[in-house]
Amino acid sequence: MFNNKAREKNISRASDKLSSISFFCPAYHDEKNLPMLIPKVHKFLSNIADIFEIIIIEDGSPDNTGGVADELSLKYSNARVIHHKNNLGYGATLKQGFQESCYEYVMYTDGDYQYDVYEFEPYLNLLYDADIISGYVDNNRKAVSTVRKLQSFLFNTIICVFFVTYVKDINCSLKIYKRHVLDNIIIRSDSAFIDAEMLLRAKKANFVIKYFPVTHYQREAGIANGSKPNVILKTILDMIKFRFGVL
Amino acid sequence: MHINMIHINNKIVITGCGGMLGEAVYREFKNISDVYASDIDCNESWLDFLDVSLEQDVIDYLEKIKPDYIIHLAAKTDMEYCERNSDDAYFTNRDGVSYIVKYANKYSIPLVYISTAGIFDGKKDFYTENDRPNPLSIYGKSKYEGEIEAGKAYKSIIIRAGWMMGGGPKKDKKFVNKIIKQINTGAQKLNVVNDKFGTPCYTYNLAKSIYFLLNNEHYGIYHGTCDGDCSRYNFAIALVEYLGLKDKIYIEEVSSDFFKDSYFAPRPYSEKLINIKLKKIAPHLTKDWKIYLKEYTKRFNWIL
Repeated sequence: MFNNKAREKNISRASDKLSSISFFCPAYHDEKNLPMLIPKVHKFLSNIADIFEIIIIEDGSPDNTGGVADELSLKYSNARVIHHKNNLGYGATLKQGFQESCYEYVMYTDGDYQYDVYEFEPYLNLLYDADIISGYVDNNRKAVSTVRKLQSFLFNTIICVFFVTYVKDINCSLKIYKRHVLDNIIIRSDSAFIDAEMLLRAKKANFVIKYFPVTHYQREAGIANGSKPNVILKTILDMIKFRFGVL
Repeated sequence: MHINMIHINNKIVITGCGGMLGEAVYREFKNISDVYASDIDCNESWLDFLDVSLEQDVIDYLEKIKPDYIIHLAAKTDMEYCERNSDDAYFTNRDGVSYIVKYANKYSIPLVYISTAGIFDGKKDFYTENDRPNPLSIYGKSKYEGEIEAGKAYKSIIIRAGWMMGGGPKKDKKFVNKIIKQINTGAQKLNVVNDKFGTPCYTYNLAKSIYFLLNNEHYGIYHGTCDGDCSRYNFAIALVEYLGLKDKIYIEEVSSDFFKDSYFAPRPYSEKLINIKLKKIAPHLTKDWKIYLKEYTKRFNWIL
């Protein structure tokens, strides 16, 4: 229903520089990763957009992630940090990132530096006729343990079967959303189901999603939280709620 | 751990949500609760029709939804229209509020009402939350009476806004878009008054303040403007600079008399507000108006 409207609104053209872009990353246990990620992001955004902002959302990390993020925001004038007093989790942090981002395009990746934002570059022209562009990694090329690979495969398969749709590598955190998508869909999930929820809602509203291949790099520092039992449980609960229209 | 009062399953009714502030408030709340947005101009697919000046319609709408919170933005804000149609101004800006309050008190739910710097007479240099209102125009009078009505709610948050900026090319009905529209039609010289002073107010920022006050149950009267103040002339100079048009657009200082035929409603000399109360409880919430103006100019494609 939003499709035609979306087309009309899409005045920015991807062949030139993007009009304006917000970048955000959730950061937890990333004191060593942020100093590698943010300078690279800054350089990349300077190349592809006239106006941009960088938002680091520090999710109550017990290490010095917050301090490192603050230092980076002093160094880069268009970067800012949001601190959570307590650890609210990945979904809630992502949700806040979307909430805080104000520009025409919204890009995100995780603070753990497992993706290279430069991999967007050859595929930015997909934004000509897509409302969302999302990276995907071949499951067998993911830089994670076999158990995580299996989890990821299962999650994707379940979503596709459960919702009778096709979405690729849902939780790949290298995506760009156009502003009008974010303005027209609601986001309810606070769990890691958020990625799936947003893609499913966007599909339902006839927004166009295009995928491009990316590399998943080995984590150099920090810890992952994705396979903790309570994280998985919350995600499954949100999925069931969403399926039955009560999320 | 901080517990959010406003929950994802809470129902929030936002009236007058099709306007420039409504856009920001809808965006702020749509992902954190169940939002029911309405307006008399249904310019978005997510808006219901509701004319708040019709008592039975308001009752029916609220009884059907049974909201947990109400954010009442609906108002007649065109000052010249209000001067010419005073009955209509009072029906919406005063009576509309009283219908909403009646419902809010029946179920003891919190109500947010947005008021204006226009309730003051402008004789003082700046106004705090405790200064005595003395409105000059029909708009100011009707909004002040609306404020008195809103104050009768058991749980009310009254926030006085300043010179509004926000909404972008599509929804901004105020100064920024008026100036940009002139530039877009080819004007190279703009006449801007230098004898009216006020405090700008950024809708996206005000929306955050509304959330903060509501979520933390800080009831009472607040000023919701940015920090700092300026004249219309100072504001226009900054706007043109941030648009990168400093060398192309000349701004001529004129007195209000210059526009007295088209803007005939009495406007206070000073509409400067300082937000002492909000600043005390949430110093992080507001910044200098220039920071927000700069952000605002970059946020949209104004096609200049």
